[in-house]
Amino acid sequence: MTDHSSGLDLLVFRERGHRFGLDAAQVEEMLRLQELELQRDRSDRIRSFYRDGVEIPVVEMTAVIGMERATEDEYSKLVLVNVKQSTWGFLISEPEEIVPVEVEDIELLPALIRRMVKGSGIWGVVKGEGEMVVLVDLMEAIGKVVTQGKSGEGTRDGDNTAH
Amino acid sequence: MDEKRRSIEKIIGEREGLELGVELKEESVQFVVVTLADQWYAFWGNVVASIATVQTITPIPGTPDFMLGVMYYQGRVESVMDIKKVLGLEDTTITKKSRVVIASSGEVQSGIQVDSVEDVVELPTREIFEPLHTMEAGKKEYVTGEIDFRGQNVVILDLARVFERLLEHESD
Repeated sequence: MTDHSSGLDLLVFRERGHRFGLDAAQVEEMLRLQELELQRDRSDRIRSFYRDGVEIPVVEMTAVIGMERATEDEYSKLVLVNVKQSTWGFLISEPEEIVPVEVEDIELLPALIRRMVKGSGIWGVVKGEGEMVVLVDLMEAIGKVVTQGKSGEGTRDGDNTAH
Repeated sequence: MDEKRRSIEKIIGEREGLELGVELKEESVQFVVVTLADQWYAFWGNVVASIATVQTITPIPGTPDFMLGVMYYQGRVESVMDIKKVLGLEDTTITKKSRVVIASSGEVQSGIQVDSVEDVVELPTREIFEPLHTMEAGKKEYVTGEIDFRGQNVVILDLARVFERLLEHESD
């Protein structure tokens, strides 16, 4: 989601009942979780799975965006995203739809909240009546996960060789 | 006689002019009186931009628990906070009387969810009193005075100061 100046195709998904959106252009693939065997050898925060002999790190979307973590059986899909020349997997609960959104319909977060969530990847909302879709920039969000992994949990960050 | 009369007229003229001046010059301040956890509180009127009914609030993850989320109001997305949590007051439920006071100070504009808006009053500045020293610590730093409202002492909450403290806290 590096280009915020034009409209986006948003992958809208639900976590813990709330709606979030990420740039569908960042998504390489969406896989059914039942068909994958996730390894727990990295850390509590970062897991992994092997594809064509390449280890792909996997993180929970709820943890990435700072929500209370969902339970294992709430996750249904794994979204593969290319982040800084590496593929990462994000566990999500309920993918809903891909919708085109015009830039006029997007609003940045109010100043007070912007300061509170700085660096979390949450950067705006699709405005409208009712519950709004909260926009997540995975490029920014993953930086926080990697930093936390490095400092707190001794993950083997940097050995993701998938391209 | 002419001289004396002119002198008397001058004195009376000055006196009336002065009295009239006092009436016109007496400063008054507007307050918005709200209810929070069954107590009345006053907000300085100059920071209140508008008063809205409670719309759907979208929570934003990663924010402190006093930040309820964002609300769409008159074409804008406003943050909405629960000031009761900031002040350490008892939690209450949203009712038909609940409102969101949109307040603006410096670079910050935010909605403040209140249990009800009681009244908007205009009072002369001489009717603003010093706050009591016996106030709880949670509230004290945000209270800048007291007014008399319907025979009760009501504390004035300075929302500009609330915003300042929150910004200081976030930049730590």
